[in-house]
Amino acid sequence: MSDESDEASGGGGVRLRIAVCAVIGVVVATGLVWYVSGGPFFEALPRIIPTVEGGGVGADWSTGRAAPAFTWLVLLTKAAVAVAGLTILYMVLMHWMAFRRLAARMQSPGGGGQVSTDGGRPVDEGGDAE
Amino acid sequence: MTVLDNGKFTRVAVAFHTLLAFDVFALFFTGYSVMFNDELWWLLALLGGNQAVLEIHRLSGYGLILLVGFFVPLLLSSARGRHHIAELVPTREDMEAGLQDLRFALGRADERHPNARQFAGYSEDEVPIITYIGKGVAYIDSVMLTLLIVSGLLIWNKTAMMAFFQTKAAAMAFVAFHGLLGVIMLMGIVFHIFEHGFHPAFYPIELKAFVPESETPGQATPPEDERESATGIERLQLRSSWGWTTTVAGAAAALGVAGFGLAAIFDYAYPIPLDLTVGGGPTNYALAIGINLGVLVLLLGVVLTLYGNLLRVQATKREFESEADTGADTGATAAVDD
Repeated sequence: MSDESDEASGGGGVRLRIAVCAVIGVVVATGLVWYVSGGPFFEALPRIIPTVEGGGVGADWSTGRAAPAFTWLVLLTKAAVAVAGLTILYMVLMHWMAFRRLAARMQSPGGGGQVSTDGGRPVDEGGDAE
Repeated sequence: MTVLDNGKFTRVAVAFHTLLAFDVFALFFTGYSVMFNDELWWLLALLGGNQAVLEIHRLSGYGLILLVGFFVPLLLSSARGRHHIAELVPTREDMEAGLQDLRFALGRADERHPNARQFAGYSEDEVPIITYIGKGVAYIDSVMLTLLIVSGLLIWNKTAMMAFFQTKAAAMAFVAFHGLLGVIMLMGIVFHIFEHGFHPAFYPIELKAFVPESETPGQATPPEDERESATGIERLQLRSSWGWTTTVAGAAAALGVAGFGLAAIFDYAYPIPLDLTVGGGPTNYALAIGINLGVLVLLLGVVLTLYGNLLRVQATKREFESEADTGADTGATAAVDD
C-alpha cells in the first residue's frame, strides 16, 4: 500500500479514510434507494378506482400523454445526444487516423520481441529492421 | 528501451475503475435491452427477460451510487485527490492539443501535443497527468453520472414518483430522459474503449488503469539525444494483429455511436406512445446492425477489462519473483527486462 502512503495524510490514515468512505458510500446508496422506495420496504399497492372519470387506472395515461415542459426537456436531451454523438464520432475517427499514423512509425511485426502490454521490452539492439 | 506511460492510478483507483466498468456495462446491457428492444431483443432474452433485466438494472444502479458515494469523498478527502481535481481546469494548451490532434491525424503535425499524449515518453513533469480528453471524460462523466443517478432514482419506484410529480406521464418523461442521457454516456464509453484498446503502442490494452502506480515497472527513459522522436515510439514493434482488429473495432465504434445516436434521436418515447414502449423511428436492418455493433464494442470492453486485470495479476507476480531473485530493490529494469 505504499502508493497511497505518499498522499498527504500518511500511511495509517489512508486505510481509515478508505474504510470511512466505504461506509459513506453504503449509507448514501442505501439511504437514497430506501428513500425513493417510500421508506421502509413494505408492500404498497395503488388503489384502484375503476373509471377514467374517477381518475382510475389508465386515466392518467389517457389524459396525460404529454406535458409541454417535459416534451421540451426530452427534445433538449435529444439535441444533447445529437451534439455529443457528432463530437464523439469525430473523436473516434480522429483517433483512428492518429493511431494509424503512430502505427506506421513503429517497427513492423514479426521481427521477434514483444512490446507494449506486457510492460514493454526492448526491441533487439541493432534490430533496426525496416 | 521503451518508454512507458506512467502508472497513474492508485491501488484503490484501479479497483474502482474495474468495479465501475462492470457496473456500468451491466447498466448498459440491461437498460438498453429494454429501451432499444426492437434491436436488442436477444440481449433481453439472454439476460433473463423483462423482470430480470430490471432487477439487475436496479441492483447495478444501487452499486453505481455506492461506488460514486465511496469514491467522491475519498477523492475530496485526500490532498492528492484535490490536487487532481484542481488539475482538471481546462487550459489554453488543451484547446491547442485538440487542434493539434486534428492536424496530426491529417498529417500536418509531426507529433501529438503533450496535453494529448497517451504514449508519453516524457517524464511526469513534462506531460500533464490528465490529457485534454481525460479532462473532458471527467467533466462529462461527472455531469452524466449525476443526472443519471438523479433521474434513475426518480423513476426507481413509479408510485413514489407520484409524490414528486402529479402524473404517470411525468414519470414516463423521466424514463425517456434517463434513457436518452444514458446514450450519451454509452457513446462516450464506446470511444473510451477504442481510445485505450487500440493505441498501437499499447494494443490490446493500455495498462495504466490496471496496474497501479506502485507496481508499474520503473522506467528507463533514454536520453533525449538517443531518441529519434520525442516519444521513442519507433523503437516499439507493432503487433501483427493490430491492423485488422483496429479496422474492425474502429468501424464498429463509429457505426455503433452512429446507431445509438440515431436511435435515440428518432425513436419516440415522449409524448408517450400508446403502447408504452420506446419505438418508432427508422426501425430497420441498418439501425439494428449499428446498435448491435455498439453492443459488440461494449462486450469487447468487458473482455478488455478482464484482460487488464489478468495482466495486473501477472505483473504483480513478476515483480514479486524478480524481487525474490535479486533480494534487493530491483530498480528500474528488472521487471522490464525479464
